[in-house]
Amino acid sequence: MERDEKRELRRFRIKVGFIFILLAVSFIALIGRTFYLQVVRGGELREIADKNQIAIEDIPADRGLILDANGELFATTIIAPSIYALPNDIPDKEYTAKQLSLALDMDEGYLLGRLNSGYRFVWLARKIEPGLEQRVKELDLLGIVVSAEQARRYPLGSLACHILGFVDVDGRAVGGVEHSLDEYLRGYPGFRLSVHDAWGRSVTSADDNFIAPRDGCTVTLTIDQWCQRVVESELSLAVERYGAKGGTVIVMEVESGRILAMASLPNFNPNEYKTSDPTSWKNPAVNLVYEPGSTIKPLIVAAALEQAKIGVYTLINCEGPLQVGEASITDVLVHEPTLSISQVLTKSSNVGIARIAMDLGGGVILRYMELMGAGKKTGIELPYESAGIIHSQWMKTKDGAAFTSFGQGLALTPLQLACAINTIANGGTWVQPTIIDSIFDGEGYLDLPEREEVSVFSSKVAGQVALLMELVVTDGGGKLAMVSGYRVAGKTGTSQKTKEDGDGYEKGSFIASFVGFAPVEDPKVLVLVMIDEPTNHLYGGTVAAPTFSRIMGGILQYLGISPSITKPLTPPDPRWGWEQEAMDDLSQMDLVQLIRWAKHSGIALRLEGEGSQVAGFELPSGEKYTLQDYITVNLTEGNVTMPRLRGLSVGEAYEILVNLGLEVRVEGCGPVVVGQYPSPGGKIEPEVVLSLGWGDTVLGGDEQGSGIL
Amino acid sequence: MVRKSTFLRDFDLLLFIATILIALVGVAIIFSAVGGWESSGRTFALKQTVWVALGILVMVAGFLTNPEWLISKGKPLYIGVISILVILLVLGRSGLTPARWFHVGLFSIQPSELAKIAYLLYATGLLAKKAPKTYPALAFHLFLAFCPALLIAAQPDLGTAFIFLPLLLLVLLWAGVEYRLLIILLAPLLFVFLSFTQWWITLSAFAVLVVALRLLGANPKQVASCAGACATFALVSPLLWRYILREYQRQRILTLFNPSIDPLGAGYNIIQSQIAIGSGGFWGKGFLAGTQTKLRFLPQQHTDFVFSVLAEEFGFVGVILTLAVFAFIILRGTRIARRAMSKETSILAMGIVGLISIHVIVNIAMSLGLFPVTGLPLPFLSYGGSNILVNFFSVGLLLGIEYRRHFF
Repeated sequence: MERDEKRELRRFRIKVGFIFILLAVSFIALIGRTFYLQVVRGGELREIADKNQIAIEDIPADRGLILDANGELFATTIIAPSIYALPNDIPDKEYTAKQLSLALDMDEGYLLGRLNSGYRFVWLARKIEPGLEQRVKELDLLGIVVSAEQARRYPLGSLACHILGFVDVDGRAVGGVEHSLDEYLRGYPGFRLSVHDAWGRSVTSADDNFIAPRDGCTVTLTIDQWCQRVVESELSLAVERYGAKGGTVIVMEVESGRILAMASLPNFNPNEYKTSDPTSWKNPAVNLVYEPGSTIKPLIVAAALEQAKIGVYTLINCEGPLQVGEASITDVLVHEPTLSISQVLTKSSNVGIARIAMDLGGGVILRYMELMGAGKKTGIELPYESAGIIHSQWMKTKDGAAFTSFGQGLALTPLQLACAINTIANGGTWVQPTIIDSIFDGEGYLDLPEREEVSVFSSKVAGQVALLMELVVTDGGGKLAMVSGYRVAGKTGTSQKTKEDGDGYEKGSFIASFVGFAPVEDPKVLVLVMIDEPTNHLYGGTVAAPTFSRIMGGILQYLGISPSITKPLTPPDPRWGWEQEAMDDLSQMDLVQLIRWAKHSGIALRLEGEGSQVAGFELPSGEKYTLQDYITVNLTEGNVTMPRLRGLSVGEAYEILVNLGLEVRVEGCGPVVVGQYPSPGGKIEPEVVLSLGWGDTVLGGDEQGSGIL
Repeated sequence: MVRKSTFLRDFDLLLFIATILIALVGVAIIFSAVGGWESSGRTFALKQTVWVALGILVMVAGFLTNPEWLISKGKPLYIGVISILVILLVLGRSGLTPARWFHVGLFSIQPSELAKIAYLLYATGLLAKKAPKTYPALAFHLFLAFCPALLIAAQPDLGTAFIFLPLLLLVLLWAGVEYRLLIILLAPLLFVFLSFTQWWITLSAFAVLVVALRLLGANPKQVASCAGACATFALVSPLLWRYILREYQRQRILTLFNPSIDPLGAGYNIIQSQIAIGSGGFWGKGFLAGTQTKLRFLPQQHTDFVFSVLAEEFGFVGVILTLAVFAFIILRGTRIARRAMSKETSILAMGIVGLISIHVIVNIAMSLGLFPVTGLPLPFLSYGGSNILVNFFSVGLLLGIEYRRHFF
């Protein structure tokens, strides 16, 4: 019996043990599997879970426009169609791929591969030609969607390419304002966050997770399309004529530091950036550093005048060669041993300026150079600006002072040099250059940072140096820079290019430059022309100055700056002693003559009525003529014939023709009307064609010459 | 016999608390699973809370019920439940009402839940009197288990129907049925699966079976009949598979074993469930933060796949803690079964433990992709009144058995 019990107990224990083992094995299996899923594969499965659920639909913001100073379009964003597929919704992938390949002229195998890639969403074709998507729409295929993507377009092609930069196919801004102001231009994309449940239904309400896009700001540049055109065509002419490697022109408004034009060669077309040479994307105006050469001399003279080391009439011993350290300084031109300050500049004497500089001391020169931004970025709103190179310790030495005085041993960017010379033009105050006129964010204009201004020279010294620089143009090496009708100041410069490794100079490779401003009595515009490695002429005075002259002349006229030297019509007495004859004179004039007369007399006109015949005047009441007053001219139709427009500026011609109610078409390029159709005196036709050019700009008009060229 | 102890010493308070605790965790998870603070979440959580409250009352009732008396009523209960199942099936076939639910006033009861207990009580009564030692006796027990199982399978609720097989084996084992008889019982089923493997595996298994039966003392007649049954099953099932089952049925069975065949259809549930569990990671995503759950990627997440919700929101740590509580309940149950006062209460206790364990293991294994998706609730955690009440009542019975173990 006891044995039985014992056996029973053993059996019982085996049973219990068996059950426990079963339970233990089961639980260990469960825990092990859980561990495997949660810890070993946790991250991976978590990703799958997230993908399961959240879809973020981007709503792209429109990239902001870039406009020129007059509101003309520089860069815009267009919508290009793109096609994508939702493979899960496609009932018959082979058929779909076949149809699409026919419609889009794409490889059927490629399309089928995309459709079978296993993704829920695949792009099939991006930014295709507008219009092509219509064929896809007509096919009306399930699971094939046509969407719109943005593409950047530059309607003016390569014009101002370095200033604009471009946006690549992935939407990244490269170079130029596109890059530096990307933050403003790109806007903020909106998005719709949709969380999908297992059935693909969005479980979020539309408003909750919708953030509207904020379109990019409209950026208005200080660049004037017209000035830019003039500058670019002149620059390419010069580069071609002198067989140069490239060149840079900067046009700057003296007082404000606003850049009116900035062009460099070689350039590229931002619409076709893919096929262009990436080295052409660089903007030499702000990132090329070169030794300024003689163009720096007026600044040394200004510093010496400011420090009262010299006076305007001081005579300088310019006898060479001058031994400085191991080097000896010589002059290019042969001249008398003693020169006046003005002659040091006009004859561009290295020896003379070095003596002045050594007397002045390297420390002082360094201070002035630094005040005028040497070795420091100007802070213009363009990317990849270079700070230039100065060796401050070396510049403080006697050698340093001597070599710096004629622009060797330091390197500036074209823009830095333009700004430094602009200090002279602007009455001794350095102003920070800018390229941005305004940034409009859709609601208002953004506050732009205050432009920096540094007082460097007294206005007296600046004025004196400006006159000395005018002598360079009238009597010195810069004669080719003269602009008829205006007083121009400037300085030539020819610098040897330093070797790539920065040690010594490249033999026979020069940079010719001319920098100047006008009108001298009240400087408005500064122009810097730099021609990189001209091959058939070397000197700034011969290579850069003629280009300077044509650009400066055109821009001064375009800006409506009164010529300094004029041959005006005899104006009526400005003190309102109006004689009947004078009135008769006026009434004899046709509209064109009247406008010219008013312009040269500095009297404002208000035109009333339509036509070209003067019917009468209304003179302002009051004893005194003030600037705010104007003469109202009543016009009638009269026996209208085509007015003579030749010699007028484009603006004037427009004013007249628009007043006649005519459409205007222009041909050619230039500030002045050189031809017209219909010809003067001819019957008026609804569309007038004007030829523009660089014709004789002597005001007062010449009476000979026919209209059309 | 005089009561030797105070109430608290004999009352298994820990089991009582653990049961309520796990049920409350269930309420929280259901709350999260059906939408959190949205109205549906509140409704379901509230309903489940009511069920848990009722469940605690039922547990007390189970505790107070004399288990021996209840076992003695096994036969009428069993017959009653079978009748209900038959009626439901007939009604269901005639399209009048879904076959699973039996409506009593406001509530609807799942008779299949009752069937498990009723069968267990009846089988316990019979086994306590005499463990089957012969084929006919065994066949009768097989019949007892198969009646409700087939009726439930016809509803169709394969998961619950499946439960009867391991339950039957467990109570037979516990009641002291010879191992060889159990093997004879199991072997033919095993051969259904083996027939789909290589022929040499099937043949070797066949040889091992015969030798094992001889060693365990089966007489040649038994061996022969068992071998015959096995051979028949092994031969018939491939034919059945090929010629009787339709394509979609085959597909469904295959998907049970390999969900990745059909990720958007039948395999969808199990794949999404595994993603949910896996994405929970070690610490989980936090209460109410389960994204798979929130977005209803999980099928039946408040009933059969409630474990996935738990695992997603509370991570590996939460799973371990929950399994620990279940393990505690099960171990307590086996202790009660081991030292129960009488054979019949011991078998009943072990049957109850078996029911709970099988549910827990099969359900979790299903969520983890270790077991075909059959649709079994997870005790105390899954939403559903019948399930909650039956489980609480079962634990009540366990508590009662433990409390009465000093009585004679």
